[in-house]
Amino acid sequence: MRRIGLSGAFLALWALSSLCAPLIAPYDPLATVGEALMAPSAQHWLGTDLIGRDVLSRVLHGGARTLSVALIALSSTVLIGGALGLCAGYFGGALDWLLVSLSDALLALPSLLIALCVLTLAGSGALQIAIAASLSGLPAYLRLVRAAARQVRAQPYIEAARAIGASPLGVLWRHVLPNALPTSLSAGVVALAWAALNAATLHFLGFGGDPSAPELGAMLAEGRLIFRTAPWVALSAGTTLTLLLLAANDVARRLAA
Amino acid sequence: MLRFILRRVLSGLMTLWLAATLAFVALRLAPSDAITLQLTLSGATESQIAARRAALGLELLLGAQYLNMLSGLLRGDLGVSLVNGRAVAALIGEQLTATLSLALGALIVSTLAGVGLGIGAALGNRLVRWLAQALIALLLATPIYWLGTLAIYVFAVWLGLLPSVSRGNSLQALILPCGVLGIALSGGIAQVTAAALREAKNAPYVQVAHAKGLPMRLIVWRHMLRAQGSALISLIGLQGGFLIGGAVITEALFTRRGIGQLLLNAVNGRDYPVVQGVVLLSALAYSLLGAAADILAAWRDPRLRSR
Amino acid sequence: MPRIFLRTAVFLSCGAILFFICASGILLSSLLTRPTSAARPAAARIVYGLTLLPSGFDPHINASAELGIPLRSVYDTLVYRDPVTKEFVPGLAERWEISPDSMVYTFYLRRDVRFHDGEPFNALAVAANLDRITAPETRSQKAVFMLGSFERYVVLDEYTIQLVLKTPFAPLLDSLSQVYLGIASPKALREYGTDLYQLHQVGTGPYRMVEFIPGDYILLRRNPDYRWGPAFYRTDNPAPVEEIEFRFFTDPATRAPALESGAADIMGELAPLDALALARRDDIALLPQPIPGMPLQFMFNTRNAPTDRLEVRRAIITATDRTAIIDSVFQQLSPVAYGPLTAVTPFYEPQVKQYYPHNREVARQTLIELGYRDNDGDKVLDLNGAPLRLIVIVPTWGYAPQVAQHLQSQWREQGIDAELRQVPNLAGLLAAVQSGDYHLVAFNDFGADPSLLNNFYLSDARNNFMRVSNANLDQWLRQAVQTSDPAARQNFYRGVQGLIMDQALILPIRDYVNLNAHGKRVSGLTFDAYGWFPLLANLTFNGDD
Repeated sequence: MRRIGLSGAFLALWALSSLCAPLIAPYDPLATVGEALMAPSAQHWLGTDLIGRDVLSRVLHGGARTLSVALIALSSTVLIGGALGLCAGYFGGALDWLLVSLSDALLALPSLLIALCVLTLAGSGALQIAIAASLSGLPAYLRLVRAAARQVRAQPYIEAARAIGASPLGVLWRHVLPNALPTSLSAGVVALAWAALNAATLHFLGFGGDPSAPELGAMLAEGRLIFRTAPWVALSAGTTLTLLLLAANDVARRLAA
Repeated sequence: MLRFILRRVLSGLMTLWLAATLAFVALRLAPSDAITLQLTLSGATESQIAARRAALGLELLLGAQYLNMLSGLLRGDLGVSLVNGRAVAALIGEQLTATLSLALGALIVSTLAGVGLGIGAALGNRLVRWLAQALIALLLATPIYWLGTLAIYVFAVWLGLLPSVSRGNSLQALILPCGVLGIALSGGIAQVTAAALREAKNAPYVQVAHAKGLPMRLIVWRHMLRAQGSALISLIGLQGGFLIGGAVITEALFTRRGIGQLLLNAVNGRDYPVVQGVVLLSALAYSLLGAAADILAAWRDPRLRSR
Repeated sequence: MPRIFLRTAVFLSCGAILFFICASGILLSSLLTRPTSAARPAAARIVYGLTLLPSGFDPHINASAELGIPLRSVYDTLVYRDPVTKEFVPGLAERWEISPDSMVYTFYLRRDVRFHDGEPFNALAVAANLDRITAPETRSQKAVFMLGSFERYVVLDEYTIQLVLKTPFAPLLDSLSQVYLGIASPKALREYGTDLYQLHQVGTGPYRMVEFIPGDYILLRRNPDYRWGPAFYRTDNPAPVEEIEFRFFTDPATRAPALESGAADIMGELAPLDALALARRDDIALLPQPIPGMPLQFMFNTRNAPTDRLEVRRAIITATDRTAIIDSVFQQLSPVAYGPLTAVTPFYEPQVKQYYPHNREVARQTLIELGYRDNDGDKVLDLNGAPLRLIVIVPTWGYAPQVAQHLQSQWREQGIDAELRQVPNLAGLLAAVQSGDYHLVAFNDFGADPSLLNNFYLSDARNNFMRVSNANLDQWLRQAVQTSDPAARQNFYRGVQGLIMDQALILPIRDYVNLNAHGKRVSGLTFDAYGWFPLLANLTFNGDD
């Protein structure tokens, strides 16, 4: 607990408030509650947006959505990509060849194309964006973990463990994984960031699904267009997104250290 | 070594084939097609649309279309665009210089900034470490279109130093787009570099070298970067593939033409030959870069040559 | 423990501070903006901002309106529409005759016209163009369909050509006045072939194409020999612009900064908030230009409950405060739309304004009378256990997402629940419509002849998103296309517009207005009858000071 520190506390607080967003948000995030583009004031701490909706309420609800999309994307990337990468890097042989070929093919495709294809086939929406973002990042993550695993495999202590008679899975679990973990985790943090940013980009390109749903990337894209007249929309969304990702990065880094 | 290279080249070709096939399948599964989209607002009748599709070979069985595509690729014929009839090779060629200059410039910036930040984050003194880590985290948390808009306002509108409309491939035109794209991507490289260096810092050979009296700078340069180099090279190679695949946002922000825009419009318009052409180009670039990276890594670290 | 706290705290605040510094920088910059000479175009050349990147630039082949912005001045057409009166005036044809059965059009061509490559203009040139447009290998996406029931041509002599139709087709003159049927040099058409011609276009217009780099720019240069323009092209322009460079600004956020920094002299499709901000500067002039055609509207699916009931549709329209949407999204720079055609479209019927004024009380009463109540206290009306939930398909263009969000919020207060589904492109929209799972879909289209309605309202039309099948509508729309008599057409279209609104088939939102602005270096910017296309020949160059 001590290790996670302030960032962890921040994240936990944010997660809590996101879960309770329906209770603690001052207004309905989908309803027009004031004039459009009102500057921050006592009634609206972060002002209102183009439709006259309260920005603070939307940010509270939006943070939850952004985090969950990024986490879904990240989990699939890290769990699936990480597991496959470890196996490929350690076991080698036919399995490695197959996984590398598939991931290479996916990597060879422009990541934008993969995302576009997923979204074209699965439709637009937050979950689909999560899948698309995760698929785009998965092969890269797999290769990274594989590279780390291969380096570890070449170390003398692995040979020693094998010589003693440890089973391959045991070696994988007890030696390869922990030693590949630092690079993998920090890459995982990068994957989280990329997942969130990819999701924001896909919103920007119009694949967001429900344009009224509060989502930080979408709010940032909208706010960008009205930045000169009403900077508070983009600033609120952007700062929240940045702080969330900063805290997430920090926590992950501490866990890895 | 030769066997390794041969194996690597073969898997590169396999990658090309797999990528082309994946793209083919994905596109055909998508609803609608280029001809229908073009003609739906024009007042054309159903039979007229069907006739056009047939003339372009879109009414053939999927298997036949696949074989046609493959045989075309083998002959080096990328086909013509379904939307404007121009040769796909010409369409891509037009956009290539613009994209390549953007990609190369961004790659240089992202590598330099990334490795530099990574070194600072892992090995600098306290202040440097904090600043570098904060900067890395900030970069990883900022969408590129946000970064780009900020940059345009600060450098083009406010300071007036650089043009917001990027004409051609002169240095002045490229600074802002390459800078934005490169810096946006450098966060990832920095993060991985920092992690690798931090880990290596505790390795025995570093302690030994330090005990021997070697200055840290040299240790970093001569030993650590090389040791962690392969993971890094892989990451940089991956970035290259991504860049060439399309920096759509950057192109839109700076009103540059490029492969990214071409791809986005082609996917939206279901222009199969153009998408396949871009896929082939991207796959080729990726295969070459990836193979080069792997071969380089294996050459320096013979332990990686065995499988 | 304190050290860790301190560290993270400093770390987090560093990040936040950095972000805020950047952001404040922008705020400051927006207050202190000054134009820069970093990107000034060369003297006597202006930069015109295009906003869409069409997939092709050949007017005979491609359908985008964007290509017409430069190319309208590269080509002349047989006839033109006067921008003010919308009447047909002579162009390359000095006069024309229409046979009594409306199936033969005879054009008497001017004799003093030359193409930019020196070739003479005559009836054979027109014939060659018609051949190209109608050839299957050309795969024309718009031009060939604009010719309607055109069957063949007859060249009577060097300067007379006849177009023969299979059945009467009233919009023919309208088609012949558009850039898609502009007359190109037969020599250039032969020389370059179908795919390469768009890079080397040769017409007879007041500007010639000098260079075209796809996706990058188009360069036009004035044609000094031009003397055969329609009456509304100025002949006394004191300082016509010598060179015009067209660049592509696909991202809306780049357009206003480009104008302010002088990187562009003329820009179209500005965002409403940006347009207002620019208009306040005294070195930039705003020019809103209404576009004829169909307004931005939401079409009802009349086969899907609950929008299959006429009274429900009427209640929904009545519940909508369109003026509030115009104020908020469009900053009052667009007029409210009341019917299926915009107010500047020929044969627009002003009586549509009386339909369904906004009245929450009336809407509420109507829904109550239909049996809708909020039985389960979730603030959404229901009937027989089914909530009043509308699925709205929203494309990304035309500010549809913002309008849809307003609708959702307005309806929410009145117990109507709207689920917005955004589609990223036309393919997505067509797929969503095909599924049938929707109640409203946003759409619009442009054109100066109301025959464009046929593509949407005929019972067998491809794009009958409303799934309407009305015998009167079919009959009137078809007949309006077959007679050239304006009075008769006015009658038919009056009936059509009345019927559409009476049956509440659509929820009209706003007439499309293109927000153009230009800097001090040019003046005299005006647009043609179709709204999109600038009359470049009438632009005056003021020079730099």
